[in-house]
Amino acid sequence: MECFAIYTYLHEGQLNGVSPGYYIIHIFDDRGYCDREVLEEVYVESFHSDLEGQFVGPFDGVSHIRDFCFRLSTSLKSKVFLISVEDYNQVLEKSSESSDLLDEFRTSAQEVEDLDISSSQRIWSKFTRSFLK
Amino acid sequence: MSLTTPVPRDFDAVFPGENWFYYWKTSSSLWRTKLEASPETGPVIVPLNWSFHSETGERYDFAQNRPETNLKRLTEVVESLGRKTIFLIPLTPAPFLANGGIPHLLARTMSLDELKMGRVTIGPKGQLNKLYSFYDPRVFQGFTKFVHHLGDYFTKEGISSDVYGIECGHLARGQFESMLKDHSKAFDQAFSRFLKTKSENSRTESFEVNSVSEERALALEFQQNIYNLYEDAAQEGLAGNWEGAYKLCFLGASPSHVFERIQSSDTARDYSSNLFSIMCRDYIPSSSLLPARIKKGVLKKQLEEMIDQSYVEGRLGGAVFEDDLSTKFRPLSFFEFYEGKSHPVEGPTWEESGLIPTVYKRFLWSFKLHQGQKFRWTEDIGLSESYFFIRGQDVDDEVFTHILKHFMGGGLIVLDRYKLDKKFEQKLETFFLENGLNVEKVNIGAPIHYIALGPGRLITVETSILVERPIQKRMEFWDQLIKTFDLLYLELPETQGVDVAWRTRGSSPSELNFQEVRRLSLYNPSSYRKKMKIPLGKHFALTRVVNESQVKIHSTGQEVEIELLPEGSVSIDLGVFS
Repeated sequence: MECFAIYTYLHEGQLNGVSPGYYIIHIFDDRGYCDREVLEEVYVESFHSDLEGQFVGPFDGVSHIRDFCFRLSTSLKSKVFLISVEDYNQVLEKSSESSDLLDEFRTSAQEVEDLDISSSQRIWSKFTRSFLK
Repeated sequence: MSLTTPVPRDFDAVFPGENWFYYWKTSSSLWRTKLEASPETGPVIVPLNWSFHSETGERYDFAQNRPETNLKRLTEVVESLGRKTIFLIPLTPAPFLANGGIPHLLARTMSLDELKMGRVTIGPKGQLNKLYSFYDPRVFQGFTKFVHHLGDYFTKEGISSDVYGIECGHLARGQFESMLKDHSKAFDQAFSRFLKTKSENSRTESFEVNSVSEERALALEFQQNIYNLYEDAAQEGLAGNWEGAYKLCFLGASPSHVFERIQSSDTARDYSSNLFSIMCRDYIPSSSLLPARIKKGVLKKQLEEMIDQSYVEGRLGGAVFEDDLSTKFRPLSFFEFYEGKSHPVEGPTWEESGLIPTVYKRFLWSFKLHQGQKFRWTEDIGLSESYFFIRGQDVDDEVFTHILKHFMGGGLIVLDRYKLDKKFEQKLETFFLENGLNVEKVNIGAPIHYIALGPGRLITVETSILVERPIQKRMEFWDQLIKTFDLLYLELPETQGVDVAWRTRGSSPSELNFQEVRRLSLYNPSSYRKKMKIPLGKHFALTRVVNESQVKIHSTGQEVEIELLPEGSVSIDLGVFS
C-alpha cells in the first residue's frame, strides 16, 4: 500500500481557526482519505498534543513532518510519499491524466518508509508465496 | 452487418449527462445520428467551448475551417428532431474543459485554491482539466472578443436559441464555491490594483485594511466585481440571445473528490448525498465529470429521475413549472430558508442554528436553502404555501417591505430577530399597532411572537438566547416551533441507508379528489435488503407505483410495505387530501 501526503505552511489568519505552522493538508491512499483517528493517534503519540483544525498538524518544520510520516509508515505498514504544495503544483503542470499525476507524484516526492516493516513484509510475503506453492 | 462495436449511449463522451451535448467531441457528420439515437426528448443543452473556436484567442472559427464549429448547423439538426437548443457559456473556469475552457495561448497562470494548490478536476475518462486564472487581463480581453464574435455570428446566421451564462462551482462545507475563486499571482496582482483604486477613490476618508476578515470581505467583493464584468461582457456580446446566468454545481469537482477519483476510491454514495444537497440549495447539478463506473445503478436512476426534462426546462426558462404545473413533478419543499446576501454566508447559518438538522430529521430533503440571496416577493412566492425563514441580519429596507407584502398577501413568514436592526424592530411594532394586529407571545426556550392576518402568519423568534446552547437544545426549540405548523406530511419510518426524494404536482382533472399528488422515490444504494412499512394515514392514498427496479411492494390500503433489494429503487404516487 502507498500513502500520498501534501504539506504546506499556513500563515497567521490564512484559514479560520488554524494557528501558523506546517500542516499536511491532504493525505490519502488507495482506499481514499486516511482515517482521521489513525492520523490523530500517530500525531498524539509523536508530539503529545492534539491535532488542530481540519488538517494534520501543526508541525514546527519539515523534519517533524518526516518524523510523523515515518511513524505513520510503521503504523499503516506502507510507504508514504511526501510532497510540498509547490512541488505538487509542478507535478500537476507536467501531468495530463490522473494516472500520470500519481506517477509524477512518486517521482518527485520524498519517500518515507519504515524499512524494518517493509523487509519483514517481504519476508512474510516470500513465506506465504512458498507456502501457497 | 456493422463492423464496429456499438458504443452504449450512456457512456458516449458526447452525452455527459443531463441532456448536455459536447459538439466538439464528435464529427459534425455524426451529430444527427447521435442525437437521433438519444432517448432524451427535452432541450439539447450545448455548452460553448471557447478554446475550440479559438486556439489563440485572436482568430475565431465559426464554420470557416472546421465543420464541428458550425453552430448554425447544429441548431438546425436539433430543430429538425423537434427539439430545442439551449447554449451555455461559462463565465468562470469550466471544470469540464481542458484549461478550464481558456484557449491554450491565454492559459498562463494556474488558478490556485486557498491553500495555494493548483485547481484541477478530473474528467470522466481520467483526463486532468487544469483550471487557469480568469483574473489575467488578457483572459478577460480574449473572452470579450470571443463573446462579441459569437454574438455577431449568431446574428448573421439568424441563430435564435437561448444562451445562459453559467457560474461553475462545487459545494464546499455546504456552500457554493465558485471556480472563479482564486489565490494565484494573477489574482493577487489584480486585487492589489483593486485596493489601490479603492484607496484613491476614497481619498477623503482613510482607507485601510486592518484585519484578515476585512481583507477577505474585500477579496470577495473583488471576485464578485470580476464575475459581473464577465457576465456583463457576455450579456452585451450576446444581447439578442441572452437569458440570464445560473450557478452550476459539479459533482466530483471538490479537491477531496479529486484525490479520491485519482485512486478510484470514490463511490456513488458520495455523490448521491452531494446531489441531494445541491438540489435543495437550488443550484443546478451537473454529473458531467463523473465516470461511467460511478454513474450507474442507483445514482444513474437518481440523476435521470431527479434532473429530468421538466427540471431542466423549469430551471432554464421556467416554462414547464409556470405553464404546466398540473402534470410535471417538482421538488417538494415545506420550508424556504434564506441566508446571506452574498457568498460565503456569514454566520450563524440556519445549519449552525440547528434549524436545518431539525428539519432534515423529520422532513429529509423537503426544503430549499437560498444561500446568498435576498428574500424578494414574486408571484410564485405569493402562491407558495411554504414557510419562508429569514434571518434578522439579512433584513434591509427592501427585504422588510417584501416580508410585509408576503405576510399581507396571506404568506407564511418566520423572522429571526437575532441581529435584526432596531429600526426594523420599531417598524414592526408600528405596523402591528397601525393595523390593530394581535401579537401572541409565548416562550419555549426562546421568545416567539405569533401574528395572524387572514391566512397569513408572521412568526418572529429571538434566537440570541439559543446561540450559546448545545445543538440538541437548539434543535428541541425548532422542533417545538415546527410542530405548531399545519403541514400535511407523511411521516416515514427510519430509513437508514435509503435515499429518499419527495416531489409534488397539482392534481389533474381525473384526480379531482386530491389537492395534489406527491411522488415518493426510494433508492437503496447499499448491498443489503432494506424493508420498510409506510403507514398512509388519513390524508394519503396510494395511486400508482412507477419505476420499479429490484423491489417487492405490497399495499393494504392503510399501509405500503416495501422491500428494496440491493441497488433497488421505486417511486410511489400518493394522492393528498385534507
